[in-house]
Amino acid sequence: MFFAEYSNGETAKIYQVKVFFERTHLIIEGVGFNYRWDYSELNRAEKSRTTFLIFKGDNFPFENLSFLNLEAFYFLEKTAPEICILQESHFQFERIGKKAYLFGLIGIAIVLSFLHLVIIPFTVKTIATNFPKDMEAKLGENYMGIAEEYGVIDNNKTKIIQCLSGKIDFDTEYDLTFYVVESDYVNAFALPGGRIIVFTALIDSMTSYDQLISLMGHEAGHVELRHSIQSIFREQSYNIVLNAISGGNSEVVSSIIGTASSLNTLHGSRKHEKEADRYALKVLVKNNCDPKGVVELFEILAKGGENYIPDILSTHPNPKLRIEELNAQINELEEFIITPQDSLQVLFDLLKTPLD
Amino acid sequence: MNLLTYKGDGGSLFKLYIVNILLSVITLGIYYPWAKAKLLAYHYSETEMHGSRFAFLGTGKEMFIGFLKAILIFGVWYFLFVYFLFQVQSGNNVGFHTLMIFVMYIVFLMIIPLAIVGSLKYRFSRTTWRGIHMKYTGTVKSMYKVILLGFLYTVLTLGIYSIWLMIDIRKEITKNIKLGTLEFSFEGRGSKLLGIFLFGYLLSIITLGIYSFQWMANMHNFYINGMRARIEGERGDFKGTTTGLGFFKLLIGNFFIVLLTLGLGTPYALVRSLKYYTSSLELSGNINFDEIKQVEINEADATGEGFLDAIDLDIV
Repeated sequence: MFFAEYSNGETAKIYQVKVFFERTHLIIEGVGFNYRWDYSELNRAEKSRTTFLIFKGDNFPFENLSFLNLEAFYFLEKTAPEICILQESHFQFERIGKKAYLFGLIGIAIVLSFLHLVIIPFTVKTIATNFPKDMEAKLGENYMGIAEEYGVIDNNKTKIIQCLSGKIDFDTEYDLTFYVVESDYVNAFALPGGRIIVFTALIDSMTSYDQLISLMGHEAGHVELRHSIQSIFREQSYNIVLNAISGGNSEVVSSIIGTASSLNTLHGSRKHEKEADRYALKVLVKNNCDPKGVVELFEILAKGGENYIPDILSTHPNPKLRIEELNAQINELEEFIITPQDSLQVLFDLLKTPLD
Repeated sequence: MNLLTYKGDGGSLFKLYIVNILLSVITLGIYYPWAKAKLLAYHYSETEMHGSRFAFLGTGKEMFIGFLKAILIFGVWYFLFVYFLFQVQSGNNVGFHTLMIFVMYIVFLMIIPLAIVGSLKYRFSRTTWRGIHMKYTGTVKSMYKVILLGFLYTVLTLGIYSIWLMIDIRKEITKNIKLGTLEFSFEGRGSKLLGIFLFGYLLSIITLGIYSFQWMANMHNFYINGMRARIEGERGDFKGTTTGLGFFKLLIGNFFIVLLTLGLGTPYALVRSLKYYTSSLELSGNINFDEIKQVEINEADATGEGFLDAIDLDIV
């Protein structure tokens, strides 16, 4: 027997009653009235942390019983589990106990990690590979504004670097277009579709054309491997997935995923940098230039600082580690020929000469 | 006398969040309406009035259907909007297509009151207390009237009327909320709200923001104090008892709870807020809650609810 409050659905008056649960029905015993409710007539049950409500009938007005503790709920769960909303996932969790929530938390982490580390990178790679080249070029065109924020395009030097690039085999189907921009930043970057921007300060710090070709090869690597497109789609995918799964609980999910996401973005762009480094090395060997040029290039960049990198390229690996890694890769190269090339030297010297 | 008590606790709400998130993640978000129904049911069932709990009887299925309908309508709107935008950018018949974009904006603005009224109708029709259901009797038409007229006056008075517009909207919503035969109304005055607003604004600037907590409390209490409940000739007056110190403790506490737990403490912060708001709500007068009688229900579906989700507007 359980004590409960009964209301008849017509008024909000409550009656103190005793409730007896039988196998197929329950009996309500109040002062001056007795009711029998078959379990099949019950509409639903609502359980809070400390109370338990049962509603009878298909629609308003609902007669209802309110128990002020959960003993009746647990008893009913044993007697007639089919009448309640006990099949609900939340109740299943509750029955397994605290472990369920722990596993739930771990489960969320696993699913999110899987999306994060496998599904999204795979999707992004697929999209990036199949992204139409003309659209990519258009995208690059839109980003040209970034280059102009840093300084004015030097038309003469742009012609020279373009001429120099014509003598190099970059092993790509993209039409690479190089621009020299007058700026004090010791840097360079690639835009989607083949536009590559090099700042005058970086060219001025160089001492050999091997270094310049390393740089051009590195940026060509970003273009050929479609790194910008991958970065753009990666960011977008995370946003879409986050919105799709989080719904009303977005604050909690986004804080869980937020930290992981930024770490992953950093990891992703470092991976891109390493891929581009390897590409630069390949270009140097292919064009009979000195592979050491790439090591020298990063020594220059390490000195010049890399504080002004546009977002689409974002974070680079630690220069020291990068140099060590490149040295190791050069040592592993089986054979390479270095042939001094006068035409490259002439163009390089011209690039470094102040022109009016 | 204190009217409402919120009995939820951070731990159980946190568990609910975990299950909801897990199932949402696994089902790629399809579970979301069920998660929302479960969350509403939790808050309602942990809210007590005169010793009896509320219950939310809406289901995930209803909300899912509502959301699908809303997404379909919203999808058509979005498609047309993007289409016209594309036409303008491509330079095809720019005048006509710009006009169409303007029309689409108007359509969007018209969806908002529709969504708010729809959601109110749906939520109240699924809310019950001691078996007595609540309902929202307002129409989309009357809501439009309030908002459009208010908007017009606001423009004509260079924005000053916006204070009265807030009052008008609150009046429109409150007078249409019913719990059986218990009716509500809002009788706050715009001049008083304007006073609270200007005074709070000035003092907050002078005190470098310190007064803003008291300002929040004054605004909150104003909205509560203007509310009346009536049943069969009896009247009850609501009273809000929040204080500046109370808001300060609540908000600063919540800020640190959420920050220090990297967001995992959000359910705890939410429970703190709900407990504070309910514990600072009183009702005086001779309302006998036992005398509330059932009235006929009006059906409502969850499309408005879905719209609010689709345009990411949350009213609760």
